[in-house]
Amino acid sequence: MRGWIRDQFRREIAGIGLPFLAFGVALNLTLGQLTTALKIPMYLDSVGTILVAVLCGPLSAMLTGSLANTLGSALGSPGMIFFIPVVLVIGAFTGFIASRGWFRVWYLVLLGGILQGLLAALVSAPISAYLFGGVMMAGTDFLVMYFRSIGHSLLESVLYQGFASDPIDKTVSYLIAFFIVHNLPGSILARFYGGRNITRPAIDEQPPESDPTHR
Amino acid sequence: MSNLLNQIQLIGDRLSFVLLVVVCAFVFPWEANLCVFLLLLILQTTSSLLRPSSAKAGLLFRRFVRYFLLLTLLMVAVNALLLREGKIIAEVFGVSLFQGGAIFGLTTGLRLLVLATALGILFGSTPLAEFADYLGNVGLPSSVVLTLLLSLYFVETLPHRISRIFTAQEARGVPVRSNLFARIRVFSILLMPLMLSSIIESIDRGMSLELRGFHSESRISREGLVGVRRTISRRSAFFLLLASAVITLRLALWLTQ
Repeated sequence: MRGWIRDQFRREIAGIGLPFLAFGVALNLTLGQLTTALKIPMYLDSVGTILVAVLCGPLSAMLTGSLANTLGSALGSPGMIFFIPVVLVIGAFTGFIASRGWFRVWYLVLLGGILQGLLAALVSAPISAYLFGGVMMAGTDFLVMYFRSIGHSLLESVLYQGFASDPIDKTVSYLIAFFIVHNLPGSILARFYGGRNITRPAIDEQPPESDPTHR
Repeated sequence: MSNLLNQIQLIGDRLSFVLLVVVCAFVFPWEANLCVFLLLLILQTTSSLLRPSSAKAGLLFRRFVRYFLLLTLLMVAVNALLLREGKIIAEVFGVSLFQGGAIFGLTTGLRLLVLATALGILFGSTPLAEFADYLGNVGLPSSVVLTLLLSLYFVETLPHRISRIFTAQEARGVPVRSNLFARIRVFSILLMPLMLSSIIESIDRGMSLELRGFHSESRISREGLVGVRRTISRRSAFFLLLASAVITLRLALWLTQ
């Protein structure tokens, strides 16, 4: 298992992969600047992880998310380090569905985004409830307050808030990643280990079944 | 060589101290966590181990603590207002604040404050480049350390690139101040040039790594070059033992209850 992980990770970061992984980390941390400038009321803080998951693979995406959260903690948002389990799930899930070809068609991306949002809400709810008491100093705190005021427990309120906001955030992040990877030139896509997650193998590249010389 | 060993030992000591504080934050009641928080503030100014590495780091740390103090106060207020348990401790403009909620807010808020202060002290006293160096020396794969260092470079340069692209696209007539859906679409339009420029840079960097044999199996490791030993200092051992003792005590208390 350890050997498989090492080999898979090596394949994912070979060539362009490793510097791109670093770019993904920085993108997660700096995209907030763009959402603020455009006044978009969403976090979109996992676009870098999603892009790395699609273009490189799940292991490098998990590393991207973990490093982004660790660096984010060091650079002024210490709460981020406690959400590493969430980004691990995001990286693993996105990498898995991308390797199954879900990023080739928009409707599967949409479905993947919704599923990812629900999954992220499930993982982040206990952390948010027990460590932060449901208060994250974000706009979504009002939703938690609302659910609590109508009689739900803290964990339930945080979970409902996650179910209400995370699927939207993750679906938009997935669609942005989908738009970006489908607008990348083929020559660039071919440089990534996960490039085949986006493009279908061409018919002339597939070996004909009757060709006895093909091994 | 001795400088390098000293630096590794210092960062190791800080890490084990932070681990001890993290354990305490989760195990102690809020009254004890308040004492730990105050102790951390004192240690941060008096101990050479935990002092900020620069004036800028000190300023960031103070801002950091202020933010989390505010967050803690907010957590206490919100919980006292919404968690209707125990007796009423105060009434503000006709709104009742409950004791159970306030205590829950204090417990979670102070836990978070202690955790945040400990992390602030760690990263305030250890520059990130030194921290990455330390991680490499204690055996983390060089690819992870390099990613961390490259990320630091990108974190510094990306905001400038983003603002340049934003201004250029706005000047070209991209509707950056239109309705929400249009702005989400614009987001992708702004991201595309950023992606392409960063991918081109990644290609260059990836190529230079390949040319230097970074991914090669026979590459000489840094550890092999400098001969760093993986040892734990007495101070680190003390902090780690203390952390284990706190966990054991808590478990013993939990089992006897």
